[in-house]
Amino acid sequence: METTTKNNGQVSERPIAIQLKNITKAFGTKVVANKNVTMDIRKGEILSVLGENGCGKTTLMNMLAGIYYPDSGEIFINGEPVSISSPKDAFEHKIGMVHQHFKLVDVFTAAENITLGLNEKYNKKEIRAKVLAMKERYGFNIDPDKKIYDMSVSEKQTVEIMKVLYRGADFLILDEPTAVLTPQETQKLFSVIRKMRDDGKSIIIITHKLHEVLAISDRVTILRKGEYIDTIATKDANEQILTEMMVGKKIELNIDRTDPVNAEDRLIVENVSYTNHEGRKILDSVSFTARSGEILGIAGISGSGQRELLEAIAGLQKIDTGDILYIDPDTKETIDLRSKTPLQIRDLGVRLSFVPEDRLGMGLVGNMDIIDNMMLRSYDKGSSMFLDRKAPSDLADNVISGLEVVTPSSHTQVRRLSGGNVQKVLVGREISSSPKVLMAAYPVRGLDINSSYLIYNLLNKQKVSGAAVLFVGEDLDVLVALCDRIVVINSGRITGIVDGRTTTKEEVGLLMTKTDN
Amino acid sequence: MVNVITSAVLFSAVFLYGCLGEILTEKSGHLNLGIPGIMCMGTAGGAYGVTIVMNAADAAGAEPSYILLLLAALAFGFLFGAAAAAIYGFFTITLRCNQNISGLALTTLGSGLAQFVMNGITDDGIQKTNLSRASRILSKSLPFANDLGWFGQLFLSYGVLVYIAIVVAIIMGIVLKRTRLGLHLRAVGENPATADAVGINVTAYKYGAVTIGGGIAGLGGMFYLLDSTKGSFENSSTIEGFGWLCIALVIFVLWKPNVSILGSILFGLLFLLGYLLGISEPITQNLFKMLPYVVTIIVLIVLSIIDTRENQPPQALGLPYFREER
Amino acid sequence: MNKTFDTIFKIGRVLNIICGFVLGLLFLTKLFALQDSTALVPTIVYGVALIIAVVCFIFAGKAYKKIASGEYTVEHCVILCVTGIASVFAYTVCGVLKIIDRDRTQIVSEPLVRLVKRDSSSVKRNVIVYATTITISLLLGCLLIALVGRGDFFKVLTNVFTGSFSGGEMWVLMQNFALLLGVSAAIIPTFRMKFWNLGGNGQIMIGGVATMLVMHHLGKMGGLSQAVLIPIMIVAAVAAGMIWAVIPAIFKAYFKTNESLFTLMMNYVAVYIVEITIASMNPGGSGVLFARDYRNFGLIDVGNKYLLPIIVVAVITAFMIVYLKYSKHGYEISVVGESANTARYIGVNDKKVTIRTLLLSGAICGIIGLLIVGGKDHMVSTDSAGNMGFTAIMTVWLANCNPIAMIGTCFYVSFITKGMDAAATAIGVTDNSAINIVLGVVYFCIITCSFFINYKLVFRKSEVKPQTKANVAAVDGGANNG
Repeated sequence: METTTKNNGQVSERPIAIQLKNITKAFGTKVVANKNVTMDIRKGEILSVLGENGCGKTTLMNMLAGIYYPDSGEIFINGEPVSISSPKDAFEHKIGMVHQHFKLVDVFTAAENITLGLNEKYNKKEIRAKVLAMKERYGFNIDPDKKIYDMSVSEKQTVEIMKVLYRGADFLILDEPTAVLTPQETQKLFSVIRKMRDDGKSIIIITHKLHEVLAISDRVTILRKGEYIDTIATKDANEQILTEMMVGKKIELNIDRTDPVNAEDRLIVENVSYTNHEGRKILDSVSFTARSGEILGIAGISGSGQRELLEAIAGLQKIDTGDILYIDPDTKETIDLRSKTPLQIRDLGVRLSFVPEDRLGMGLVGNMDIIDNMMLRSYDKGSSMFLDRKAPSDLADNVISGLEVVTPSSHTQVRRLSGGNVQKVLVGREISSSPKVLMAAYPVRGLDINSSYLIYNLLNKQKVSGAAVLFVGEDLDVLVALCDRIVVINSGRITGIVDGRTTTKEEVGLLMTKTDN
Repeated sequence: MVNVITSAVLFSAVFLYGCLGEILTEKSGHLNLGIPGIMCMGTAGGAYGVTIVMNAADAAGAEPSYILLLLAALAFGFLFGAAAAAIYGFFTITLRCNQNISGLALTTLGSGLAQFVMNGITDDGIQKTNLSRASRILSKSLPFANDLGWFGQLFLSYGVLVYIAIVVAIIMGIVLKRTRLGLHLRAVGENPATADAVGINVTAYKYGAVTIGGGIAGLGGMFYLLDSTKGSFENSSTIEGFGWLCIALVIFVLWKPNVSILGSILFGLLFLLGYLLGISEPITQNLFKMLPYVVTIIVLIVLSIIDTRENQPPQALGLPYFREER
Repeated sequence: MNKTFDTIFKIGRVLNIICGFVLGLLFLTKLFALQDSTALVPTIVYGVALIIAVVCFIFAGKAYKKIASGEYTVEHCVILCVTGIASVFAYTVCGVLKIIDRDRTQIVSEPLVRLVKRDSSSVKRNVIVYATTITISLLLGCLLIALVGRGDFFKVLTNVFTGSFSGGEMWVLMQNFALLLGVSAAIIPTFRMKFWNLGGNGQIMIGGVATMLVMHHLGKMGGLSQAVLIPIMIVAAVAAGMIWAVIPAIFKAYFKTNESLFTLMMNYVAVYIVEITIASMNPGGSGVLFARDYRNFGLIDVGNKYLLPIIVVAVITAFMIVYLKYSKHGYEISVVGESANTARYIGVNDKKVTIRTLLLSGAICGIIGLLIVGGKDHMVSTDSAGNMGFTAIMTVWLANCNPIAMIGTCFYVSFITKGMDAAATAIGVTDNSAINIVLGVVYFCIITCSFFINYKLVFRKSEVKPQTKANVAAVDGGANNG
């Protein structure tokens, strides 16, 4: 349904403060983060910049904040062209950004962090007074003398916001601010944001959460795959319209999807919950079943708990409540995987393989060669105290030839391989043990088309040979084309389980951003 | 009893200087295991400076001036120590080499170099006596101390160098806690990425802290020569031993300059306990000598078990800082 | 007039002029920037410092003239010193001020030269770097000794080689080399795990103490034969070394206690334990044990007196090479050291690996202690370890934790130490300090060598638009950001 009006943001009467014209930014030769993006920011408004993972919204705002510099295009502030080449420049133009990863010194108080790096006189009383004045004005709930390590995530975020305001910013960019907040904290943040807007400041929120966009912003700018789509007034928008603009039309991918044969329950996850030490519920009563001969996709915005879920199943993450059960296809007995270490899981005869998101940091040892990396899972086999390098060496050769890994030899250090080849080595090793359960987190992230298709085919082969495959991915086109069923997770909670063949991108997109309040 | 305390205090100034120097260095994130070598260099520097003044005075046929002697000892002790620390600084800050290894290399180099300079000085009989003469002048206590009985003896009978150490400790405490300079330095030691992000010049602060810290530590070596040993010097291994104790002391006082005043007196007491109690039996004597180290080990263990945020070393201690890794 | 004094004065003069010049410039820049209120204080400070520098210059010059002509008083000396120190003080204050000042105006821009970790270094390049280091350190050391001993440089150079390789000296060299290699073999597994075991000295000494106690109480006092004594000594030394090494390991594994400082402190406790042991065996004595008293209770020589340590260490080294490269334990050590996350991922228990590795390290150090106290010296002293605990750290570091390269680096360090020692004695430098200076310089050469192998310098490319740091390094990062 064509409801968008491509009027390029002429939906507000407020004066234009910042204009971006034809901004393009690429990293290396392959990745174009932003392509000819033109948009504007008005005085005294709350603007949401909306888009999926990888659409370029953070990169774009980073250029306003001076972290990156555009390859081409111009930025105008109040009509004047400006060059922002450092965060200091950005502050001079009254632009400040609060990033997702906080930059705070833990042992300092809030006030000390706020004033860090400035050159005003270090009079503790005066600084404290200024901070308290800001607190009164905008309703921040921060004690200036409280130490950062004593603070909750939401309080730390508030300190970051105050840091930016203290330096006189009129334009605040918040990168996924509610990703780490509870619903109550989100409401508090929103009231603070509204106060700042009423004070004449402009707040730009980078987000993917539709209901929040609708709740807080005046206007919404949507980006997709690095390009500008449209800007509409929030009062003219609804979830349907926004989702359609965010995900676009379906793209046909040529992935061969066979029907599952004799699907049996293989892995049962029941009511798994985990609250982290900061009090945030990472996993909330997650329940689903993975069946043999099936690819179960797990869709969700980055950081919704997918990593913790897979790590819990693999024995790397403890959970508070719930069960993780594995059903052995040969003996049919049920094995409880909860609170077991990876070695214990292996010793129980459970063939579970895990391709983690962090390839060189977790799945492989960068400084070791391919053969030694092949041994990571199996080095302990046998009773001798010596390593058997024959079998891993053969495996390495098989993987290199079978998956077309580009490498000088099997003795090359893994960190010298390119991204795609690193992943091939990792996936090759994990499927070499003929797993009954194969879990893969973002296995095609950063890979070129050919390597990606190779991975899809490998996963399909595993599925056909009877394994239960769990696939965490971020590209909805792929999920919808590859998976038999898709579990959608949002903020640690399962929001829906849909059939891969009948669902649409929009349906999954909606589920990804749906919350229960 | 009073004697015990005064002896301990006199001795403690050695530890105090070394400890303060290393506190400053560690606050910037650098664990300088070269402090023993730096303190040796300070000894050599102090000796060198004092010798120059004494020679000039002798040539003029006059008594050396107190102020001049003091300034020379301070200046040269500081400079030699700072120069040695700067070597460590170059390797660990600019070249980002492993701090443990660079420090150990500096200890070897520093103690050898210092010994060499000292041998050059003490080989000449005249110079040797000059050192003891200078020491006598410098360790003169305040004139009215003896008139005030035990109070005077306890608090006022030390040479000026002891008081300078205490003043430095107090100033350092104030600078670290209450000035912007101290705030920024602490930020550099805790989280250099954050400090860099807000525009603090991480490299400059590191170099400043390492060099000035080295200078202060050097003063400890100078003090040992000109006060504790009354100007006689055998070899640099005693001072080296003190250097390790100073590093231990830093942990003991939880990186707080104010606490280090008391902490160094305690260490001085521990170190001298054997002598002071008149113990001559070698086994017990050695057990006492072991005490400071054992106490430090216990403190290390206790700190890591308790693990409260406030009493931990600077978070980035021992780690090199690369801007790329932001 | 004292020549040193003269030189110092002249240098000071030049510095005074340079710094005065710089101060003048700073003062003027601040003066012109006075409309910025923050420039007031710096202007005043620079102005005052400039005045101090000028005054110092004038007065120092006057005082010097008087002193040089011989008609001076103590006041003149005072003035000279004070002016010198005052100007230094002024410059330092300004330097500090300038640092703070720069915070204000600094733009985060790409530096002229950047340091980047090197992906890989070809074998050819490594060989060149090592060869250069060895040559430079050799030449530098000889130069230093020649300077100190006022001798002929080439004579020194020759002596280094003859002192190491001629006749009987060769055996001593091989023994030193063997012992150092043994200690390095003890240290290398811990370093591969990134556990900084600085306690080698203490572990050797404790092994030596255990040996000594057996030699004394069971041998000299107890009258047991050597055939019985030796196995007991071996067990005692190994056990003692293991205990000494495992204590820091346990605390690091369970409480994350800092192991550098812990092991360092243990070294000193060990020294005093040695003193206590000597005192206990020699009540009322001199505090020194005599080798001749214990020669019959120690280890038996195999062939000549140098061969035993060489053989034992050869076995240990071969074991360590095989252990690290071909055994499951060695593999786990590598994984834990390279990537703690991966170790967790495959379920390796890092606590178990830490403790096990340190037990091994302590055991080997104990054996070295046994070889020294029971074999070479036939008695224990606080010098027994010969600081090899620290030297071994250098050799392992230089070898980049590679056990085969370690053989080469140990040989190099032993050779240079022995050679320089011999050369120094030959030209009459008996001072121990000269050797330490040379060693220190050699260590810094080693550190520099390691730097060149692991890092490369990247120079700023000239760009039209200013680059920011993340810009250049952001290939993956950009793709992963939203």
